[in-house]
Amino acid sequence: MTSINIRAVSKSYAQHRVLKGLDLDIADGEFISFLGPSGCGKSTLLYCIAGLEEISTGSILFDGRDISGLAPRDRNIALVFQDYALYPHMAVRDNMAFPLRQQKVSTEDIKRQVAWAAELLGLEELLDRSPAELSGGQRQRVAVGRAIVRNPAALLMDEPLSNLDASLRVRMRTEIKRLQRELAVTTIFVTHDQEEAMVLSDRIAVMHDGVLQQFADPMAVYREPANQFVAGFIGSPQMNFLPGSAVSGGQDDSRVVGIRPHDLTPSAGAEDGALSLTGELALIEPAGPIHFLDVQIGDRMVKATCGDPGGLRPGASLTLTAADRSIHLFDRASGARV
Amino acid sequence: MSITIPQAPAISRPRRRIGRIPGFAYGAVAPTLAIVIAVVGLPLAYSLYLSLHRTNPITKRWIFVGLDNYAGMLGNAEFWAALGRTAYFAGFSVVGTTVIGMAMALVLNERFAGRGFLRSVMLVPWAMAPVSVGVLWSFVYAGDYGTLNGLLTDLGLGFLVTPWLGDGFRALNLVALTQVWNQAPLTALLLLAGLQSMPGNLHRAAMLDGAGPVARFFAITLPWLKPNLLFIAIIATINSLMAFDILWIMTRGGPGAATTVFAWLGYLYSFQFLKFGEGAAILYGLTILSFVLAILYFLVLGPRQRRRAAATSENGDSGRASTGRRHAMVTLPPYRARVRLPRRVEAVLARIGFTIAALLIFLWSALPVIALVLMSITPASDLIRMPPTVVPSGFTLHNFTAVLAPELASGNETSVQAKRVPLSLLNSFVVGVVVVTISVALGTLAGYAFARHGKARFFRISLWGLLLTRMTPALTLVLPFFVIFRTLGLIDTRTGLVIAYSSILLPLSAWMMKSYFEGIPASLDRAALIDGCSRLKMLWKILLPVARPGIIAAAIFCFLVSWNEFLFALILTSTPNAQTIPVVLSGFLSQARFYEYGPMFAASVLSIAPPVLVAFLFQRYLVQGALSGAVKG
Repeated sequence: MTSINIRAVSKSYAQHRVLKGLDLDIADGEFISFLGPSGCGKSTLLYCIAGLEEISTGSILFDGRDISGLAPRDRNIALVFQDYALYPHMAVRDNMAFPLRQQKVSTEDIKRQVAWAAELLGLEELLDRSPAELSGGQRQRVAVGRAIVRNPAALLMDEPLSNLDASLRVRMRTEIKRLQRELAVTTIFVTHDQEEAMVLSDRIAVMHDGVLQQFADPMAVYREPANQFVAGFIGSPQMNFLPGSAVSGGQDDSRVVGIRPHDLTPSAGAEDGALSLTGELALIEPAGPIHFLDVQIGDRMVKATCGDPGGLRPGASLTLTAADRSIHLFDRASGARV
Repeated sequence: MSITIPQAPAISRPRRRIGRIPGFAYGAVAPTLAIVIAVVGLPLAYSLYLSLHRTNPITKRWIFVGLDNYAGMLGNAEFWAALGRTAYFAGFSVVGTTVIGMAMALVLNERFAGRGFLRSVMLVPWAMAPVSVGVLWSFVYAGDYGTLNGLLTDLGLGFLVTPWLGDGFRALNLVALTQVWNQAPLTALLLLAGLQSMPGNLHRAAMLDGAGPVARFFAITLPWLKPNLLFIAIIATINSLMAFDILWIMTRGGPGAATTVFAWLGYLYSFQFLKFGEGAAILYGLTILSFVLAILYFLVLGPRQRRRAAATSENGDSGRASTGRRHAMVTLPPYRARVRLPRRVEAVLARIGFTIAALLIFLWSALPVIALVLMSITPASDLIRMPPTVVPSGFTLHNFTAVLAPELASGNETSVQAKRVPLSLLNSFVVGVVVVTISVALGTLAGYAFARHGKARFFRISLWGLLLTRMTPALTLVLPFFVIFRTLGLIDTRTGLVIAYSSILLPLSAWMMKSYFEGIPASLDRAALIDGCSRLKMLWKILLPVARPGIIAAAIFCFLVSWNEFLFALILTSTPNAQTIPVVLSGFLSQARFYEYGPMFAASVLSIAPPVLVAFLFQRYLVQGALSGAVKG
């Protein structure tokens, strides 16, 4: 088990800078997510940690030791790939035994360790099958098994759930979290799915354009987004952004006001100290426990929520209110939180 | 303003149910199948009939002898000796092409500057006509003033000088080596296709699992290539069984009978001794041998046994045993990186090793060809100097003038053979263009139907038939062609060659196009049909543009085969009227007066120019062609 320190890491392909001076400190046994839109550099950073990509400048430390010069196979890292990368010609058993064989572990120990990992992941019935004979969820499980079987210094996962269907994805992520707690292995999980990142992580590193935007625990990222990018990226549906002048409450256009749809509801009456917006209801989207309301405020569309739309019909005039504490302010020029 | 959508015409007649094979599909394969039956099926049947007779070329009498020819063949010591040599030759070339082809494929699969160029260079020995390959290497190994002896003399190793093809066993090995030189690029091409389909993450995963380059080659790459390797081994075996052109040029079965392999024996009986019956029996034996291998190939590459269905459903497998754990985590020995050189040093060493490998591939492929080009532009007298040397005394284009514009050649010393070169180039070109056009057009139609309806019985069986025809040695077909063409007056005509070549090219192009169409989603067809296309229009407007790379690949392969073909052209032509360039080239070696090396090498260079050009311009399409499973001999 290992702590990982990333110090001023940059990575460029020719003229294109993919990672721009990243600093991250990951504690031993922590579960970290790298979250960001595609192309933000999160997978590249993961591959740099694994050694599959070389960093251009900076250093990566495991337990305080600089490993940036080491080959991937000398880093004792396990990686679960998005497409699992199971060896197609090997049975599940051999797939899981492969890393141990490379380490020249004794046959007896390999057998016991594979049995342990297979039991942990419920793979005992499948040990003699080939990967082609497994379902998507089973393959994913085998990939995780192959990764944990050798007690890696750190477990890296590159969007491991993205090839599964929705319900399986939810189940697998619970299982991954349980497994990580049990093994207490330092884990880095790359995803573009904010819900996955929120549910799983101890801390989330939100990335954009090769720059770290915010590194904090999930609720902090949600409640106090460091800048407008994080605020817009985290939370679904996306946060509404309005120019300061469009909102009552004395803001000017040097500020951008952000309100999450969940915090913006049709007003029951005039509430003191609250922000309020009036416009025409355009669309109602039922989403089970709540309904989303698209409301035309001036020339922009704002998303709000309500529990029960009651007699609301599209076309009706509607006043939306939000409590003061749920309002986020950002600097218009820099996007930073004010 | 609104757009008026014209009312769709009422559907006049009920369309047939979905799932039935449309008549269009049968129509699409009909021409191909009809031609293949006519140019492969009938000759094969005729050959079988012939093998049951004893014929007398003078009295033209045929006597039915039943299986006597076969029995005689099995009782003939010559036959068994030839079979042994064939096995040795095949073993040598299969192992050689696989090892060298694998090395080439591994190097050329890496990304490096100049990869495309090196790939093209690597392909040149294979793109060349086997006749040109034979001409080149027989001069390299030639006794008195061959290139190899010249090089040895120049290097001060004169004591090693020897007539290389003079010793029987050595000659067999050198011919096999030449076969390897010619065929290794094909293996490399097929392996390259396999390597390119390998998911990159497999190697990354193995790297992280602690496997080094060698361990990864054996644990990941080799198992991944296993289906390709089996296929390649069988193709290489069949190609070596059918090797004929190189033998004809280099040794003609000699010295003695040292290089008389099975195919050569069949040729001897049929066309030298004119014992058609016995010859047909021997060649039928060769066909059967090839078919056995073809069936093996089909079993290996054909539909795999059905995978066991994932028995447990996604929902059933999530729970693990809720009762207490039975297995405990093992305390593994601490992870120890093996002591190795620092990563930088390792990277530099790897780079040096890789550069050497790439350089070796370049030299292996290009050096003999460069030598050929040099020989074509040195004065002819240089080539017969004693003691031999490879250092030219000067450069001249005289050899090219001699073959391209004989009337301009000074001194008018141009031989009859050299005068035939321009017409033969034209013949090769005309035959190539015609046969490629026909084969690719019909093959595309058939390939589409095979790709979409390959599971239906009729198509399955005819595909199987096509596959077998591709394994039929040309030697088996040429005898019936010769006899039939003589009756029809097609000997010595370009039409005859086009007919004969379509027996090879039509199955080839149909097969390649089938593989290509299989990669195009059938939803494209359906979309076109729903959007109102007829099937023919769908093929023409939608699928042909999408399949263009595949069509180009098929056309290139077919043109190469046609341009380089030697056996049919040799047997089915006798005057310059229809002779193609390989035949005229081979004629230089068998003409009465002493060898005209200068014009011969000039003709050689002219004969390899189009294939080499193709290798350089269309290298990408050749790799593409290998992906769709082309197997040219």
